[in-house]
Amino acid sequence: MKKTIDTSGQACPKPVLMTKDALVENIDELVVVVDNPAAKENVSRFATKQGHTIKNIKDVGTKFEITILKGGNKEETEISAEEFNCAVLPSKGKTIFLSKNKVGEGDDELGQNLMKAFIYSLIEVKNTPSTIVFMNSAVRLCVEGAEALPNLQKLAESGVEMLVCGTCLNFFGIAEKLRVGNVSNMYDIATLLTSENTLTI
Amino acid sequence: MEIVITFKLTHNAMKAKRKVLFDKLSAEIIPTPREISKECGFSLLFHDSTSEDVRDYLDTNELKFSKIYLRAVVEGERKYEENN
Repeated sequence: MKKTIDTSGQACPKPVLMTKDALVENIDELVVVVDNPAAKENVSRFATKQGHTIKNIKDVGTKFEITILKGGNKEETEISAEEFNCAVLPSKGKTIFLSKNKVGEGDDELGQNLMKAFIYSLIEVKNTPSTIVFMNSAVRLCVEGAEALPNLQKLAESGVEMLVCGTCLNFFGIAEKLRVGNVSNMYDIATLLTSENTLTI
Repeated sequence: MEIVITFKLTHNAMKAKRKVLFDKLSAEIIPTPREISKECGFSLLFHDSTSEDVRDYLDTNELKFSKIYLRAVVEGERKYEENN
């Protein structure tokens, strides 16, 4: 008897657990549909380890169909998430909170150059932030003529979300000069800053 | 061609930056690339120029600098070549 189970959308190690349960049933052949390479590896490895045979693995669009010939009769083993390398989902990048248009205190011109250089380097680093929040004088970085603007626009194009404090733009009278990012409010910003992995500059 | 200028002193880098900003040149202050120096420092990146033009510009304006590098992308990697 043949059975098919679909593990699409199931988080690791669920596909392995579903496979294990299905293999207990009275069947000869089990087809396991998985929707990612990690699950393909884990299910195949589990089945082989249990003494079953992998008949074939078919690529079906974005999914894989693993056909297992039941044959194993090994003792039940515990399945742990660790054993099946449940990859941690790549975490969302950091939120960077810029509360001024310079880095640190001491000398304004130095601080502004450091900020400019910092933003340039964000384009180059591996873990680009997911969001940058601009408040108080930091909103000046996002307006027409700002030195950092071209690099912020590059970051925005690469998918970095930018939230710019509307109150601050209004205060400095530069709202109509905004050239990058979305005008945001304190509720959205507070929600983000209290729920995300935030770095304050 | 992209030209990167390094400086011995942060003050010299900032002074040169003030001047290029004033002259509205296509250049910006960047952190000194790791490939050039491990030390923290500012450099100036000229987006589209030649080493001769940049050298002339810096000399004419009496802007002190350390070295001139040509920056190019070779097989997907940035390469810096010192230009003397």
